[in-house]
Amino acid sequence: MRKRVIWIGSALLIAVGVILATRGVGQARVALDQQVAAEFLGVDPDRLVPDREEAMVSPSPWGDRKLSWWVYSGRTLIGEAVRADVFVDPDLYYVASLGWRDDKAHWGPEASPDTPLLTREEALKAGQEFVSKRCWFYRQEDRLEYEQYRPQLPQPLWAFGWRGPGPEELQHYVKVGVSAVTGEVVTYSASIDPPEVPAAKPVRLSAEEAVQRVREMLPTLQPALVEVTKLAVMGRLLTGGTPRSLPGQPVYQVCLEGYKMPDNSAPPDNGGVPLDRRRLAFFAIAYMVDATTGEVLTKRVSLQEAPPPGAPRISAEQVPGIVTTALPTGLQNPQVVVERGDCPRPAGRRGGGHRYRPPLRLGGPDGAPTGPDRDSPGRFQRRGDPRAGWRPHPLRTADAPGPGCRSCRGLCAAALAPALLPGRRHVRHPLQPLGDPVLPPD
Amino acid sequence: MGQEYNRDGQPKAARQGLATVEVRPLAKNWRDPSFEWGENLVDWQETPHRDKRYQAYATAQLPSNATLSGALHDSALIMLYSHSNGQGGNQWIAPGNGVLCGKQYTNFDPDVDLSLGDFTENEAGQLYFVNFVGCYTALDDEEYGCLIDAAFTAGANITGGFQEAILTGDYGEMWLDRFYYYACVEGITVYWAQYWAAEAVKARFDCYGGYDTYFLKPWYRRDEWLVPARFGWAN
Repeated sequence: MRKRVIWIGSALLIAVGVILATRGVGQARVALDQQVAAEFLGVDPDRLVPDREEAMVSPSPWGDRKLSWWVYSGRTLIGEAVRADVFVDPDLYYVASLGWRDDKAHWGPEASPDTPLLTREEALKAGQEFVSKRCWFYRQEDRLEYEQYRPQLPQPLWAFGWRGPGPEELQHYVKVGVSAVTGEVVTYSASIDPPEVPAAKPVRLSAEEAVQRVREMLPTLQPALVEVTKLAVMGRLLTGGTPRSLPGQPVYQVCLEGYKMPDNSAPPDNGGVPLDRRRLAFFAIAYMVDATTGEVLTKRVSLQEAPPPGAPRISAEQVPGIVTTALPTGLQNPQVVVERGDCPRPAGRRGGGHRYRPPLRLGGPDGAPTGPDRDSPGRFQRRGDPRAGWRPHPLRTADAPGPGCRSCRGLCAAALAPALLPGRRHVRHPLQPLGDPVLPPD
Repeated sequence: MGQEYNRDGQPKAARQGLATVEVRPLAKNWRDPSFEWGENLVDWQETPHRDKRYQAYATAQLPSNATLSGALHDSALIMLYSHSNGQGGNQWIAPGNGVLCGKQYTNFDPDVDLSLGDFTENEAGQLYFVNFVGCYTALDDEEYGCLIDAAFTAGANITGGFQEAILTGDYGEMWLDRFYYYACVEGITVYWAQYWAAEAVKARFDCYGGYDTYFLKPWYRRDEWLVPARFGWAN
């Protein structure tokens, strides 16, 4: 009898072990960025079929980050077919852009002149509903900054873009394209951007004065000019730096449109008779006008020439020492390698700011990674500020708050630290039930 | 039409074993000398992965109609960054001398102007992608015709242009730089390359400057990509 109990017990233990091992292996195959994409698409990660075994990493249009890219096919929980290009920001864990692929459910049939089309309000509502459900940092209070109607084929498209503060001290921009035929969101993109750079110099010029400065300079700026059709300030006052202005320097953008001689020669004296527009060159260009001095900025500047005011002077050689002190004590022989890059985070914000956010590689003596990189769950695990109404990142675990560092508050390598601590490599994805951890892939 | 190419951009004769000469598709890019562009066009020919890249030429002068006509017959990629007339249907080539247009217009001068409408159907069948970077280049004009329609009929597999005015200078330089930066990533589609390039412009300048009005023809080929290098195939 006793042998029989032992035998049955052993069999049960083996069966449980096999089940756990199988589940563990299966989950380990699902990368966290794939999980993020699945959540965004409303698809069970197990039913989502990527078009390749590993994500392709491509450069991001926003700063120095990278995007992991998948083409996914699958079916949602309600059976809808999904095939889409999905780009996930593996640094900050959100879907950066998405476009449906050859899917009639989204793009629908080609519009004909008698096809009923969505009104602006209907399209706006459809877009807002989509981003409210799919984008974790979008808020209803976000400012509608961009809208456009494009009467194009195969379908007319409404596009809307919202900008708002957050998460935390950062800001975001979310954009959707809504088919005016089906009401489906066919394109989507989102970015988490550095916070606004405050103007370091006073604004002494009005928008009208900026336009006037360009008008006065036209003979020098455009010697072949024949006719001006538009001269106006566009966008908001830029303070974040342009190819012709430094960060903190407030500049207006003055848009000039018109016609000029196609060979850039001086226009002929035509006795007051206007030249045939069809034999002229149409052009459009933006001039940057310094809002402090009124100067039309025509020379390029290099961001490397002058650091933002108030930026602490930390040399690249000092960085490894600073980072090493922030690493967990259990890490074996860490090596910190500094790769130089522009810091997207400006001066003047809380914590004093720093000029560079060098991408950091953490590795052992042989260069092999000792901690998660692409799939690190700690890259954006910071406590939200409830007073400001921020929601914490859905991937953040309650027991592993990212400490951040004083100057960067979590976007630098110090934020990786909790991910490297033994026992804290498990992160609970919001799609998973409580107590069912998802293992980052090895 | 001379050499024919299959769907993968390989010469048909080579696939049949009749030719073994390496054929690197040509990519020819011109810009108005008063414009700037990013360096990624040059990257097409300097990258170490030469076997996957185009044999690219980037010239800061506009072509004559004869030069452009030759390129349309032997290149896989064409990019023209120049002024238009402000209504669509044409782009200036060889400043002061002529235009490239969708069809012959009232004062068409065959010595200096070039009409894509004069091409027979699929005459430029090796063309894969033609990029008209200029104001209103995607629009149909009553007098000049439509550049992207005419290029597609002439044999280009994908063509693209802008539906509105685009800002040159810093805006244009950034869009071109970003477009070819993304387009050079293997597998990134033409659609996403132009989309991200426009978003990069917006992120930098707070305005799209017209670069959000890029239009691809035909739309169903928006998922095509530029690298690895390839020739076009018969439409």
